[in-house]
Amino acid sequence: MKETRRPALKIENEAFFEEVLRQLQEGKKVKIKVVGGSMAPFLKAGDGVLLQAADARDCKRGDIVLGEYKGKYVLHRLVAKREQEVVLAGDANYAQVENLSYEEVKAVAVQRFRDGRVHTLQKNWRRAVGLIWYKTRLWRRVYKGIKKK
Amino acid sequence: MRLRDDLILRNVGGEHVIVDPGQDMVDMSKVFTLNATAAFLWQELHGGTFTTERAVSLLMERYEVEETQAQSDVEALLKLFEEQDLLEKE
Repeated sequence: MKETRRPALKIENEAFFEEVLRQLQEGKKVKIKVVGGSMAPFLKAGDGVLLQAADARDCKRGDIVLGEYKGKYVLHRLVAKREQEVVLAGDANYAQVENLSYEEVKAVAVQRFRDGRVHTLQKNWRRAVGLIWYKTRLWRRVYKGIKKK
Repeated sequence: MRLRDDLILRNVGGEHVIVDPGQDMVDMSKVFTLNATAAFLWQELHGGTFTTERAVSLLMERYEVEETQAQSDVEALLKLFEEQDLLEKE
């Protein structure tokens, strides 16, 4: 069994999330591991996240959602809701945002698992902190630039 | 012995993956992958009761392998299954 030889298996993003979506559509919640650092520091690589099927309409700004963007799946923060689309952004990304239709948002992150502890995510204070983090990204970028010198 | 009835073998992105559906939560942060041989055995043995001997015969029917080799491979595989909680508890 490969499982004994490799500590972790990386499956292609799309294939993995298609299976995740299948389970979500059956009404299950799905726990996944965070890969990549685009949501640091709120979600770090290695954290666990519990996903629940959700419509973007039911989500609030500040929620972390799973969206399908240009064929790939991203787990980013919902920063804006407009009439025909929503905007996602990774907490660690200064410039890049993703524009998605409401239907392209598939699930919301309800819990984070870190160091053996479980944190409930869809709380107003967490959303607020996340949105402030997003709004101050340009200042943070400037600060980082100054710090380097 | 039996393989856990609630576990599903899925093909995800070309890999044979065992998914544990759970009650209402599916943990996909820890999945098991099987190589082609183990996946073959899983498919043959899932859904029924079997013995080590049956697994060994399956291997020998399908692959060119000596019985002693097949025996030790099967024992190693079943031991792994047991350690990882993939067998039905009796």
